[in-house]
Amino acid sequence: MSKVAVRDKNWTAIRQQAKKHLARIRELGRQRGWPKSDATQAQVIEDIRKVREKLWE
Amino acid sequence: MRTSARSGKNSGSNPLLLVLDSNEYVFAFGFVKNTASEELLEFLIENLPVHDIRIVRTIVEEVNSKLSPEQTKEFFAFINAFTSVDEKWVVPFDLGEKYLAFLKKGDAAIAAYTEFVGAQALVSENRKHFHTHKGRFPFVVWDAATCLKELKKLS
Repeated sequence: MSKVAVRDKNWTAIRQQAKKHLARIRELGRQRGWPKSDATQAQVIEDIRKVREKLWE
Repeated sequence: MRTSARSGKNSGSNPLLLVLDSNEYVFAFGFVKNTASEELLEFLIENLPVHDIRIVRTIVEEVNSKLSPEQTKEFFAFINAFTSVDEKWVVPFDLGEKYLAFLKKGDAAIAAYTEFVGAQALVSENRKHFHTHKGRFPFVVWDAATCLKELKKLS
């Protein structure tokens, strides 16, 4: 992003938007039973890496 | 001028260019409990646009693999609020090839992307792969807790 583009953006509004979307993702996650108690961080990392390997095939 | 994460020297304005691995987003969203990942994303948002966060399409897709359709919609809106998504084809093949000696293709591509965009740091909780090779990259590899500590030092 150019310095002019960075300067001209309304960052207060962008921060608020980002916080709102983050809160919504977390709330939707909680409704799905997050945080998952039956998954370890290591398992999740491995799951994601399997997806990654398929995407880069 | 940007801060050199490797040397720890900075020029005064202290911005860092960061690539967050997909696990950081998934943990920050609360899929499993990881307070450091949650705090890091909140810190980066609160300090926008001080630090530059770059994301490649495959990381978006990896995160989406853990999200519901409604969460995916929110994630796109979240990402589009402060950065743009790079397509995976922007990464030159040659750049990733050198990493294939010690990383799988997907991880090698993420390392190549991190180098390609000129990021000072790749932030990942993947200790088994990225962290064990941290001296072999032209960027630093941090976990969320270390990244948060370093960013707080700079601010």
